[in-house]
Amino acid sequence: MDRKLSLTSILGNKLINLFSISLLFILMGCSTSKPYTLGPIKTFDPDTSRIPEPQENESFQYWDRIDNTIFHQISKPLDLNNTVRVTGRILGISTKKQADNINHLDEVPESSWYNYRHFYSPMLIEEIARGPNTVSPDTSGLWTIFSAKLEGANPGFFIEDVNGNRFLIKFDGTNYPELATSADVIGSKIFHAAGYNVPEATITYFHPEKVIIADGVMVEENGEKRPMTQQDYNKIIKNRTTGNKGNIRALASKFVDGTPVGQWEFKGTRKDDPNDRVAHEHRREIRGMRVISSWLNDTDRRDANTMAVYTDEGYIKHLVQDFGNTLGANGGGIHEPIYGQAYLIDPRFMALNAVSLGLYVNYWETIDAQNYIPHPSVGYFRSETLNPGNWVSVHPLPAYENMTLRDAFWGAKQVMSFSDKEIAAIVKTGKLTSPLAEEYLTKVLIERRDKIGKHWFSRINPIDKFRAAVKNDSLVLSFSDLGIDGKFFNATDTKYEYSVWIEDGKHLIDNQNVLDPEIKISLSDNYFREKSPIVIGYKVITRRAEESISEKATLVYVFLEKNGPRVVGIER
Amino acid sequence: MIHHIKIHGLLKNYRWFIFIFSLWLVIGQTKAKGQSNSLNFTDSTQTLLSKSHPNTIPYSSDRTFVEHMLAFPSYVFEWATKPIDFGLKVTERKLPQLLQGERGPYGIFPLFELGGNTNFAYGFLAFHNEISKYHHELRLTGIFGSEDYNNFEFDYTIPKFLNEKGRFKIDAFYGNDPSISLFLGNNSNIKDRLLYSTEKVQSNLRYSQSFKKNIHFSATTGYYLLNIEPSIFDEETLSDATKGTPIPASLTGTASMLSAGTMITFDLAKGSPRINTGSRYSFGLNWQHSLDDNDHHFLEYTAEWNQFVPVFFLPNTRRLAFKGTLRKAESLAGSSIPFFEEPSLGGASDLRGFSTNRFRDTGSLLLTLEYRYPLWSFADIVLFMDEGQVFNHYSDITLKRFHTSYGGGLHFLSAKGFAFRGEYAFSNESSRLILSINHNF
Repeated sequence: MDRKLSLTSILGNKLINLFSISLLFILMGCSTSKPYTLGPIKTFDPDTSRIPEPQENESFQYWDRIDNTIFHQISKPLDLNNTVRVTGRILGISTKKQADNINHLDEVPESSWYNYRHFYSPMLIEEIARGPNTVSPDTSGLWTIFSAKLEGANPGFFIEDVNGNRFLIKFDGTNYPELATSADVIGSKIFHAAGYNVPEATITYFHPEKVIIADGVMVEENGEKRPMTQQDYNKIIKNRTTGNKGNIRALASKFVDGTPVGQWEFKGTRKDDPNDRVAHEHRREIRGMRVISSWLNDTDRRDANTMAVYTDEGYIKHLVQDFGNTLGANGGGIHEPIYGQAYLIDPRFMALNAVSLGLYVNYWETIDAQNYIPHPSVGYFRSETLNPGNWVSVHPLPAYENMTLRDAFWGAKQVMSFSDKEIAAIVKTGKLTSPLAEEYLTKVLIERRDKIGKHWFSRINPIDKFRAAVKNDSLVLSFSDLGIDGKFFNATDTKYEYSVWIEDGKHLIDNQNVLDPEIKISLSDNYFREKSPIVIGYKVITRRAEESISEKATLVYVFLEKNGPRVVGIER
Repeated sequence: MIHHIKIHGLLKNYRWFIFIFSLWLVIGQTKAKGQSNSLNFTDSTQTLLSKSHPNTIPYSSDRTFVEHMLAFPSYVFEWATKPIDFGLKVTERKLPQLLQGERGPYGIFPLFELGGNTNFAYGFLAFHNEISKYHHELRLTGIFGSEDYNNFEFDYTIPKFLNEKGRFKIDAFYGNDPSISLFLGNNSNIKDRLLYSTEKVQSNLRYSQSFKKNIHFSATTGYYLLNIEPSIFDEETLSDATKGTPIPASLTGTASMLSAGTMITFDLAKGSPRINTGSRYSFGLNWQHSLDDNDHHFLEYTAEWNQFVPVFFLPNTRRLAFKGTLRKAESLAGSSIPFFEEPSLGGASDLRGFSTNRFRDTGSLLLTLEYRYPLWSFADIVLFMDEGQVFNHYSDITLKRFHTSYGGGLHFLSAKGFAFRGEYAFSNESSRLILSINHNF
């Protein structure tokens, strides 16, 4: 008996020790070195080195969904890095793992994935509305179909116009004219302005008789391949949305430059791309994309709706594509009320449903989407139902699951960078024929944007765009309060509490308040000049009149040197 | 002694900790990170003079040795699921129809049967729903457990037969079962189990016709040849739960039967894929006559009532489902009713907590009440109670004679409706797991 007990004790001790050591490792891993750099700020991640052209990786419709829904969920607790970190979070001594590709200013450098656009350098409204587009299909001449897809949710074809430009042609569902095509165009414009690589997409109207089928075009039907016929073409264009003179409305998505080499995935790295070093689930721009997806109700975001292209320069560029399931559209139909609220298979709600014996009623069960469609061309797209903190895509995505508050803040900044007028200009490019539908869509997008801004800017200190300058012998740290810029909070109800210290930990100022987003330190004292170059740390807490607002601190580091001051580090 | 071992254990752990910690320091902290971590005040001048601009140093998510160690269980799991990954991708590439379920025009599925007399049986379901330009439907099913337990089924359906809503179906069946239970009467004891084996060949022709949306009529005629022998299992080879004695020789032999029947259903139930409200009434008549020396000649009639009632203060996906079924066989012209054609209770669709054919007589009455509520869009949780009795005369029916079974389970739904159910049922005698692609009601 004693022997059994002692063995149990030893085993128990070992397990506890193993767990403790794991926790220690993780926590030590969490500790960071200096939160600032005295060198230049990293603004570009060099992942564009020339590599051998990789093989195209096949796109699969089922595996990524099954893997992320079932196997990835089982695998997560088996990764003790993750389990111990979760335990640490429960105990309040650890945080979620932050993204691996953020610089000292808590920003994403540019890369083959991401470009600095509207938030970083405001684009002209015309540039935003133009998006990635350089050319539209020429509808004056003949289009030649060189490939086609008869089956699936979205039958369509590929054409070459008289100028030799190639496009994918897709259509609206027959019951919802203009819906899918407008969503696709609007989604691509927003993602483009937010900094992502997207294919060119434009609404086009073509004459059905100005299309011919090239020789040798094969189609697949019931698992068998056969030559495409005129009847196949007629079937694809049957009952499609038409405009003037019987022209058919379609989405034309231009073939991207370079060679498509498949999709990219929301976790891991691509094995045959030596440039791909950051695990996708730990990329800030993909984690933060969840917020942009929540804005557009981009529910079908998954591996199959991405694209990797081997560029002429010899590296893989990463694109986000297929926005036909954004806004109120779900392919040829409309979004269901559950979309965005829960995963297609969601154990959280399933457990709740099971134990409640049916007494718990999920909110979306009570909604008949048809009662909330003011215009067929906008489908089911509402702002009242958006819960920014709980928004999910239809299938779990590891990168979205890993989103931290800082990632979300980054995403919310992108969303909030679009003004009302810019949103209206983007919506116009969807070419909805009903001005009322256009107005409704703009209104909902603005409302959803504001819900997102208010939600995330209430959970983190939303000060950003720090600038340091010397004015009148004072070091001035100015910043923007995105909560006030977004009109979520009143400037009169806001003050900024700050403390200032220098490298040896010496506190120069403790808990002072300013009403404007600007902190001044007098440099008249020779102390700074003697110490220069010197790093000055600021701790800024935004205090609002509203009690419910989170009051977390932001740490800002300014390097004061001969050439002047510059911001060298931000910690949120 | 215990104290000593504990101290020793801690000492060992302490050494281990030092070892791992050292390893972590040496290997773990030497990982290459795009963002240099070496910046501090003391070397700021050197850093400024460095030729390595951060824009030339890529980011990386490399894991340390220790992090890999901690992730090892998840790696093992990922490797273990590789065959599923590979299999699913190959299936999608080579046989995409399989992944579309029965939405696809054709496909083949593996079938497995666990438990029963052979413990394990395997087989297939193959279907083609678009044979010829008239979209005829073919379905082949085969289950093979052993030479003594197997069955094969063939269905061929011609839709739009004679008119838009007419269907004509030919089916054929061959199967044998080495051990079927026979209990006679409503009060039979579990220890009175008789066992027999069968070999059966059967073929039917069936014409069905829908009128409007909710009236369905069908007429069937068929023939079968059935051979009955004592079970090949003796008492010693069976478990306690299935033990029995072979049937007497007087009940063995061959039966050759011709049948003709008709059924009409008034389907006023509503909802898809879940049936939420309304009712359904079915009435059936089936006449059978032996074609051999056996003097079997009888008529069986069936009446069934299904009622679906939403729970009034909840969405109509939470509903009560009721089934009442009456079956009665009556001999004709002084002939007999073969025991294997008498109505019975106990099985996957009636008194579910009892063994198959647990009660048998010339009549049966079954009352089932289920509470169904959604687990998710594709599945319902079902809590049920069955009450049933068999009888010889209607006057035998009393409240006291009802047998009770209860349980719960999951009903999986496809876009078309019911797809599969898994239930666990209990009774005062036994419990059983039910996995079935056949809807109860």
